[in-house]
Amino acid sequence: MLLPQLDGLDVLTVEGISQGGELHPVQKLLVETDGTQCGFCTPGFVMAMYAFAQSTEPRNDAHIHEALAGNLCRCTGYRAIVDACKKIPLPDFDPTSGASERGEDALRYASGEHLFFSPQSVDELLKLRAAHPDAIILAGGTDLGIRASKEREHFPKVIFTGKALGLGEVRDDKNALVIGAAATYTDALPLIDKHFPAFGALIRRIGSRQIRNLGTFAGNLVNASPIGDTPPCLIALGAEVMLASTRGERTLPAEQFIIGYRKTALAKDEVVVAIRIPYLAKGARFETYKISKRFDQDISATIGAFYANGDEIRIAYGGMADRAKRAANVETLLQVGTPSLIKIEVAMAKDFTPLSDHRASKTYRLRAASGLVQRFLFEAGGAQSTRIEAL
Amino acid sequence: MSRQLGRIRGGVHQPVKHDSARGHVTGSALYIDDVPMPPAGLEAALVLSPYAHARIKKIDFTKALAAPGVIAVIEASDIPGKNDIGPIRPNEPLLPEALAEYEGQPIAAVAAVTLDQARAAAKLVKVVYEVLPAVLTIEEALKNESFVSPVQTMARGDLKAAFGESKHRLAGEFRAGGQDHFYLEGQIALATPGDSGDIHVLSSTQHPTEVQHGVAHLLGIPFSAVTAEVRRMGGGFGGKESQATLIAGIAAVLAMKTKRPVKLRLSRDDDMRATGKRHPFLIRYDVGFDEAGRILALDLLLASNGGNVADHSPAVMTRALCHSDNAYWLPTCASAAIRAKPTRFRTRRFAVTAARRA
Ligand SMILES: Cc1cc2nc3c(=O)[nH]c(=O)nc-3n(C[C@H](O)[C@H](O)[C@H](O)COP(=O)(O)OP(=O)(O)OC[C@H]3O[C@@H](n4cnc5c(N)ncnc54)[C@H](O)[C@@H]3O)c2cc1C
Repeated sequence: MLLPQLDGLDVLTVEGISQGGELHPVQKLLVETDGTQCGFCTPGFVMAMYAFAQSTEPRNDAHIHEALAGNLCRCTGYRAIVDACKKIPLPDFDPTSGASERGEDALRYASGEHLFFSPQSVDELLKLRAAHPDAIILAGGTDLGIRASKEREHFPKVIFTGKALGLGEVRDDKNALVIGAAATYTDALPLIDKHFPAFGALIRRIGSRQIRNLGTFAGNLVNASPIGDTPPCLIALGAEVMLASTRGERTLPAEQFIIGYRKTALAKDEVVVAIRIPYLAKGARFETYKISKRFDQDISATIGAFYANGDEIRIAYGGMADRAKRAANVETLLQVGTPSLIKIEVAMAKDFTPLSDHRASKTYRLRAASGLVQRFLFEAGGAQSTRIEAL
Repeated sequence: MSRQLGRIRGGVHQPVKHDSARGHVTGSALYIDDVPMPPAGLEAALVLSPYAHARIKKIDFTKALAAPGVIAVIEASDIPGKNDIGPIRPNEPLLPEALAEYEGQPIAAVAAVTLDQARAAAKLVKVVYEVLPAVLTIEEALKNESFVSPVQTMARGDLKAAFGESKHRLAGEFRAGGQDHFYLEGQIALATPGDSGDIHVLSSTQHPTEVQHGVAHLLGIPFSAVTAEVRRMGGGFGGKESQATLIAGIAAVLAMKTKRPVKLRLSRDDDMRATGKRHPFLIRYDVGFDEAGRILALDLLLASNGGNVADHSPAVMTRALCHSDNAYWLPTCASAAIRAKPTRFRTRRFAVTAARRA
C-alpha cells in the first residue's frame, strides 16, 4: 500500500498486539499448538488470526481456511495453525462498534517529486483527472502495488479514489445492483451474495481476505487482464460500466469496455464511477466456474461465466484469449438444444485459440472450458456437483 | 551431578516448546533483513545470464559504474582467492570466468548505496555473449553421455537368468519433477569485513561451515578468519545448504573489495532463477515377476537432471539408488544411476541442489 492510503487509520502490527509482556490469546495459542517452525511466516499468520479473533464467525474448517488463505507456511503443514484457530474464543464485544475517530483527510500529499491526490468527492476526482491526465488512478492498489513493491517502480503522480464520497457505495437500484468504483470486494459481497450467489462464491476465491478488503471491481475491470476473474462474469451478466469526466457521463456494456489485451475504452480524462449489474430475470440462471491449480489465492487457468434466460444465452471466458471474451459459437450451439461434449469442443476451438503457458496447455484449456459448458448444462438440468473435499 | 541432570528440561515423551516461538509470534525474532544495516553498509544486486550456455565475450561495467550510488562491481577476476564453491567436488565457480552454464547464473554483481540503485545499475551491466548449443533434457544428456559425476551402479544376482525365469514382465518409464524449495525467508547474506583481514558473514544458510569454508577459499584467507553466523535455522528444505554459499560468497567478495559491509538479498524471481532446485528424475524400469506377483528381477535406470555442476547430485543419486528397493526384497536387481548434465537454454531450467523429499 502507498502511505497516504493509510492516512486517518490506525495501523496495528504484530509488535503491537501483546500488552505489557502478556501475549495476545492468538499468540499464546500458536505457541501452545507448536504452530511455528522457521517462524518467517508467523507474524502474518498472527495478524490473520488476530483479525479472525475480532469476528464472530464459527471456528470451523471452512471459515478458518478462508481466514488463513492469504498466508503461506512451508514448514508446519498448517494443521497446528488450524488447530490454534479452532480454539480462538469468540469476541465478547461487538466488533462492528467502536470505530476509531477519523481525522480530517488531506487532499494532497507531497514527498520530493511525488504527488498524491486524495479527492474527497467525485467532482474533485473528475477535475483532478482532467488536470492531470498523466497521473495514475489508484483504488485498492492490489494490482498497482505490485509494480511498486516488486518492480520497485515509482509513481510520480497518483490520484486515489478511496476517499471520494459516494464512490465506495454499493446499492440496490431499481433494476440493477450498483457497485461504486471504490467499493471493495468485501464491501460488495453481501449484496452480490443476495442477487448472484454464484458470483459471490467466485469472489471468495479472488485472492484472499486481505486482497478482497482492498481490491475493487473497477480495478479488476480497468486492469483488463485476460485472466482477471470478474470481466467474464460481468460480460455474461450483461453489466454496464459507468464512466465520467468533466465533459460528462457515458455508459458502456462491459463487453465493449474491454477492447484488447490490457486495453480499455477509457479516455485519458475519464474514470470509472460505477458498475451496474442488472438483476437476474425470473427463470434466468447465472453460474461461473474457476479452474486454477489451487483453490485459493490463484490466478485462473480458465474461468467460464454462463448466463441463460430461455434462448438468451451469454457465455464468456477468461484465460482463453487476449481478453475476457464471449464464446459466440458455443452460445449458438446451446440455443438449439443440448449438444454433446464433442460438439461443444468443436465450437470452443472455433471460438478460441488459447495459449499454452505454465498455468495450462492450450489443449487443457480447450477441454476444461468445454467441460464447464457441460457442467452448466448438467446443473441446469438439476444435477448437483460435488467438490472433492466434500467426499 | 544428579542435581545438575535434574535441571535439564524435556526428554523422551515430554513435549518441548520451540525456543523461539515467543519471538516468532511477537515479531521480535530477527531475520537477516531485520538486522539493522551497519554504518556505511551497501546493498548488492546480481547480473544473471539470460542464456543456458554461452561464452562470455565481454562484460562492460562503464554505465553501471557511472550510475548513481554505485560503489563497486565484481566479476570472476575480482575474486582474490580460489573461484570455487563446490561443496563436495571441485570446479564449481562462484562467478564463471568464460562460460555461462545455466539460465539465471550470476555473472557479475554490483554494490551501491541503496537497493534500488544496485538493482538499477545491475541492469546497466552489458554482457556480450556468444550463444552456444545447450543440452536441455535428461534424454539428450543420456545420449551425449554428458554427466556431472561418474555413473553409480548397484547390483545383485544374475539378472539375465532371473528375467528368463520370470513368467511376467513389465517395462516403462516415469518422471518425478523438479521443484523450487520455496523457503519463505529468501536467500540473503550480510558480510562485514573486520579490521585484520577477517570477515563476519550473516547467512540464511543451513550449513554455516560450508559458508565459512567457501568464503575462506574465495577470499584466500584461513577458515579462522571467517565467522559464519546463522540467525535462525529451519525452513530451507535443502535449498540453503550449498546454495547459501553462492549468496554469502558474492557478498563477501564485494565487502572485501569495498571494505564496507555488503548485504545481498535476492528478489524472489532472481532467487528462483539463480539458485538450485530439487532434481528432476527420469526413471526407466524393467521388472520380471512370477504368478504370485513376486518380483524376481528388476532392471532400473535412474537419471537425474544434475544441472551444470555436481553440487549435491552424487549424494542425492546414492540416496535415490539405495531407496529404490523401498521395503521389498529384490533377489536379483541391477540399478544404474546416472546423473545427466544438461546445460540449459531459456527453458527456465535451473541449477539443482539438495532437497528434503516429503
Ligand atoms: C495476492 C493477490 C491475489 C490476487 N488474486 C486475484 C484473483 O484471484 N483474481 C483476479 O481477478 N485478480 C486477482 N488479483 C488482482 C487484483 O487483486 C484485482 O485485479 C483487483 O480487483 C484490482 O483492484 P484494485 O482496486 O486493487 O486495483 P488497483 O491496483 O488500484 O488498480 C488497477 C488498475 O485499475 C485502474 N483503476 C482503478 N480504479 C479506477 C477507476 N475508478 N477509474 C479508472 N481506472 C481505475 C488503475 O489505474 C489500475 O490501472 C490478485 C492480486 C494479488 C496481489
